Amino acid sequence: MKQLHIFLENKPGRIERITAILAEAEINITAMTIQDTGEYGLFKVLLERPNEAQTILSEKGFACALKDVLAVRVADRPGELNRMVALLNSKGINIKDGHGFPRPNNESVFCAEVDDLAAVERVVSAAGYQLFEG
Amino acid sequence: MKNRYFQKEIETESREKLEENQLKDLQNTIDRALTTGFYRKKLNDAGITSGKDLKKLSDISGVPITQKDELRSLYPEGLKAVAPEEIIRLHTSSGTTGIPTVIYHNRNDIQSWAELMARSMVAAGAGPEDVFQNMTGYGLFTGGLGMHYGAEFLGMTVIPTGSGNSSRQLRLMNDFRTTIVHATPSYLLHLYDQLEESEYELDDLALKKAFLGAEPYSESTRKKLEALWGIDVYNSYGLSEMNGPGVSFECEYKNGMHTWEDAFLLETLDPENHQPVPEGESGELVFTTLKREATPLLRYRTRDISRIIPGVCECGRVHRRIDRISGRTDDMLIINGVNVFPSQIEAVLMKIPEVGTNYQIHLAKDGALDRITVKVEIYSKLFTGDLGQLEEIRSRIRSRLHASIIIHPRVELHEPGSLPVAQGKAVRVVDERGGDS
Ligand SMILES: [Zn+2]
Repeated sequence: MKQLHIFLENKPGRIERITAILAEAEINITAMTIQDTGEYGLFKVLLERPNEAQTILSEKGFACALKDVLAVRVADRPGELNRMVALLNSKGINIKDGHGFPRPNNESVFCAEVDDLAAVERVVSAAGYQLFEG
Repeated sequence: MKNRYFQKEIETESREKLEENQLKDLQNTIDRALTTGFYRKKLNDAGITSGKDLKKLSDISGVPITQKDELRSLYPEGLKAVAPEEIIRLHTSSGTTGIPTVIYHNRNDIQSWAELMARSMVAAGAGPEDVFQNMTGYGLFTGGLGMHYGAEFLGMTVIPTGSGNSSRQLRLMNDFRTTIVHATPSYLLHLYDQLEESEYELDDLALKKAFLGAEPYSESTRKKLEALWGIDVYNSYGLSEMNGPGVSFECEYKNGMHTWEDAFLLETLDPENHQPVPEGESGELVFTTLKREATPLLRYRTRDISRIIPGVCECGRVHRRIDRISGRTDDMLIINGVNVFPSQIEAVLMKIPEVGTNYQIHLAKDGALDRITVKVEIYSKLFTGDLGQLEEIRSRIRSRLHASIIIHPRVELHEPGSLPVAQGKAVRVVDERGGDS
């Protein structure tokens, strides 16, 4: 799954500027998270047409990059996230940053940045999980 | 490389011979200067009443410094050490920051300037077989006429196009097989864009070299122009008070600019106390004219910072080389007692590809200490999307700045295009330390 990472200074109105540009381009945002250091941070979004979104934002002067991230469908009930994280932990997989969001039909999507994504995807698939395709 | 010389004897004579002639010419220059009211007073106050009072070259340290403001105060009369009817030309500085300075030339001055220019261009590999297109403004700007006279004296075919009119420039370059151009760096960049849109192909042109003038440019701009046009670009140094171009010029080895020491006595001084800095260390360039008759200048402060490159050049010229100008004394910042030039910070940042070319230096007080913050913009195309990359960029900038100029700045990362675009150096530096620092 492609996630768009946008470099932002920590000052008012920056996120709105991005959401406004994406709204104008009629690109739907599925989920988002902010990784902040105080002075600056990354605005991370899962969205439709990620390549197009990156091109548009780059043209508007934003520093942004597409990252391949793990996106796994998990059941939306107690203990499920723990089961997922325990699986990754048992295989020595380090989660650099992550977030999640609910979906219809009692489902959630767990999203994580990991090294060697292809290998991690094989691990979760082998454990019976389905990858989220957007 | 086959070394070419224009005046081989002068260019390759021994250091002893050069210095012997320098002393003679210095004594003559002092005598000429003494015929002007301005220098008579200055020199007499320093106990000098004749050129013969200087027994050796190092006695120059007893000669008073000349400041640009003093020359301004003499405008428009200026300094005339010859009879008015002997003067055949004058140039004034652009005077963009106030009152201009004026320099007069007699026939010998114009001739020796042309010689220095011709010598410079031959050092950069030019010869009588070359076709030289002079794309800078003529008129008061010293670069236009200076290069023109030098190129003619050397025997090149000169096309005096002057500046502007790109389609005609390209047409003449094509039709007359121009091999060398003289232009401002920004115009040469612009002309390349025009070439791409024109009916002419780079491969059809005969261009080999370019001399740049009139505006400062970075080493990366030189490299860019060399790559775009497939040519050699040579750095040079000059200032209107020392004729204009033709003070220092790179030879074909492109390893510093040979300063024509038979015509200019070169000193590098500490800008604060005017004492000489050790050879090889950065200081303010200070020149004394050794040949000029109409307007002699003694120990003229250029406000440009550079250093003398130790050692001899492979080309065999005895005339010492100076490095590219690293800053202006006017721009010098004193940060916790250390002299820092914005251009030194810029040079470090230019080698960090992940940040853009725009930057800002912010100075503030933190108790008794100065705190410096360097603000840079992330360069979009090399951004990977990781916080780790951003931290790595910050610490790399910090450690490189510390290694090269012994400062410990904070480094701030900003979005592309978010810092003010600098128009001149003033905008680059925001000093909020107050006047008592
Ligand atoms: Zn040389």
